[in-house]
Amino acid sequence: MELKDIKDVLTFAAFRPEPDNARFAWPQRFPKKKSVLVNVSRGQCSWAYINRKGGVDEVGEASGEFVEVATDMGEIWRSNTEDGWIGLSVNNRFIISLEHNLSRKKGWEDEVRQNPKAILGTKHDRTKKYALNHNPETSASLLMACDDSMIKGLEDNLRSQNLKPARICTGLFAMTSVLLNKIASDNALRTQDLIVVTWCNGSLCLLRQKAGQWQELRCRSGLPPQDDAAIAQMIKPFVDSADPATQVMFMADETNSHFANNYLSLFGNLHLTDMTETHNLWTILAKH
Amino acid sequence: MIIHDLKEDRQNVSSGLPIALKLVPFAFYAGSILAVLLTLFFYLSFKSYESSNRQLKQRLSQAEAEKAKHTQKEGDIINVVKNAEGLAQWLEGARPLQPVTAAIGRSMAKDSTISELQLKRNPEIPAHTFMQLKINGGGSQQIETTLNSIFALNYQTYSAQQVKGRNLTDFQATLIYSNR
Repeated sequence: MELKDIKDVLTFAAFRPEPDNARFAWPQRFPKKKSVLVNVSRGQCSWAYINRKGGVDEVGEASGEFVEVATDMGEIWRSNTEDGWIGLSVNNRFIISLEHNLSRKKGWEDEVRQNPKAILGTKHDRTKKYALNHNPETSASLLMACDDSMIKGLEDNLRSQNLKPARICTGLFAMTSVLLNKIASDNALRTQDLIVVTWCNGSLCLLRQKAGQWQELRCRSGLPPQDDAAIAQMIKPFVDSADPATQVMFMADETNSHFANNYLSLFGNLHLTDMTETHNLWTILAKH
Repeated sequence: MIIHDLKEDRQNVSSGLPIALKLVPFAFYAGSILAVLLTLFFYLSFKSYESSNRQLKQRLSQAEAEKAKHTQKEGDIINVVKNAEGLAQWLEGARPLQPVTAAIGRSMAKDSTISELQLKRNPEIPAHTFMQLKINGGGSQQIETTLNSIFALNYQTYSAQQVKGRNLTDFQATLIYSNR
């Protein structure tokens, strides 16, 4: 037993999960501690400093690939963390798909990280990392697949800056999961015809829910900023097949986002509810 | 809801010790607080004891000084008492000699006269009075009469010596008063 172990017991730190324990939410890993969250997009990085109360203190962004931004910002990020732990959100090179009848046996959360083949079967790709969000009412699930090589590259980049990855997730998938959970817990909304739209700094996910069933999903990550046609092309089939009673549930990473300002009009006369809050992405990542 | 995590899991990542073991640091802090409180209590008690001990010692030294003063006074009083007792004894022993001289004078017959009468009191033993009596005429008869008169006053004679001259009888003796 080392002196640090005794100190951890006396300061109650030994009773808290380690900062990189995936089984625990962010506030449980960093209780009353500062942390830094970084969203890695295509050609751009944004970050937020989370204070000891779990609120967003300050946000920033810089153009460039993660390796370049991390080189410039590494020292500052480290000074705003406890022991160099950092939370990353990947916003590029991932895809979300709609799947059915995936295994939900006890411990599937650990299984999908450690042995995804056991859940995905033939759909499993060794070069991917996976995450799941199940519909609690039906057999449908959202499956997020992300390049494993990119995750490893990000981990290496962090290590070279003396930073440690506490969590690497996909911001858009996290936002979509949170929004779908909110809908599922709302008696009025969960049986409603909905178009669920989530936007995270160039990544877009569209999901059609009809009578409580998830029916269609489209997702693109790392869209170029001026690619209006691609976004319009994604939205059009959802709007075309929507009946007038269909509602649009929208959530973006930030209020006054590029998507909210330019593309919400594409949903025409459909009733739209914007669930976006200030610092939405950072608040979700710091809360869950 | 817990957000998914894509990073490579570290081996043996801790989820934290069981909640029940929180008793250990709580017991440690409780013990520490108790130890501090006890230390404080014993320190204050020790200080209080020191203070009262100092006061008691001061009172003891004052009492001893007072006792010495009283002992000295007692010694003085004892000395005075001793002197007074000595004086009283001396006064008790120093009985008035005037009746003796009167009795000796009255005991003289017609043909006898006192040539010399000397009564000397021993200053150390006032009850002892040395008597030297010189009588003209009368002889032993007169001495005997005179001694009877003295005996009548409860005196006894010791170391009596009698020297007879032609017409002078010299009688010496120590008179001691006896209170019968």
